[in-house]
Amino acid sequence: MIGGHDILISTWGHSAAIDACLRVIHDFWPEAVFENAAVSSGVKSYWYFSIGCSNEVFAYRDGEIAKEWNEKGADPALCNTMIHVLLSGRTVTLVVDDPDDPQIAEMLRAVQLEFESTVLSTSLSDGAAFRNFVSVPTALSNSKRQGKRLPGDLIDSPVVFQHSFPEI
Amino acid sequence: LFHYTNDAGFKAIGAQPVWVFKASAPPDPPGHPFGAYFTTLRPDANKLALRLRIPKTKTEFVFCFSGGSELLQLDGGRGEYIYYSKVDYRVEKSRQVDNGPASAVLERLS
Repeated sequence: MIGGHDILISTWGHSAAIDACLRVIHDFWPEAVFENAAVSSGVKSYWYFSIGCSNEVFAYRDGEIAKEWNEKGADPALCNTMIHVLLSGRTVTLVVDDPDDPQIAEMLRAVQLEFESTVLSTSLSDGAAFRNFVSVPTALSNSKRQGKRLPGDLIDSPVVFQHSFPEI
Repeated sequence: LFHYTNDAGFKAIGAQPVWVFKASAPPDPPGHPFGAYFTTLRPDANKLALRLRIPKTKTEFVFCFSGGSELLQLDGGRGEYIYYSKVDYRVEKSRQVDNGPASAVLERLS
């Protein structure tokens, strides 16, 4: 079994998308530290963290929490204290413990708004609960593969980008 | 492919000649579909437990097998290394590569 909820958000597909996520997380967690998930490089504060070519980052609430995660893994006592950020193609995935936790939900909404601000049109302004349009559990995605249309489907929404960002 | 588990899970799966990985409901609140989960991440992968978001105790034992092309890819970035089956997943003897404590399996794989 694996843990966490994988929240998918459409972006412009550039490593700057990761930075946008980390910046938002840092706004909510001023003591946050970040760590490259794929290569062991130690934790760093937002200002010293180099994203480089990394497309997988752990964002911990603070340095002590980072130590505990690295000692124990996903211990229940550490719930909602780390966000795993991945960039694949034009999608950012934020892995969280509980997307219904008020602070986590607010952070996810803020990340979504960060990308929304660069988009001319989406179908996201209906005021529905955040999870209804950005959380894409695999069960729903499998339904999509079978041809079913789902309400509030972000991933399949027509998206027009205001700015063009070069692919790396 | 690899399936990580704890001591109890290792004993239950490894006791049978054909490994059967039971599909199960994810912890509440459910973040993933009912299923049996696997990964391409080796035991020495950086931050293994964190990337799978499981306790470290659940990475102490591992089953390693070949094949698995019929498995489904998890949606999103973790789909690069996490796969699952919606039903119990059987691994016959001919596909079984190794199993045991993760450190010992890693040594034999290297």
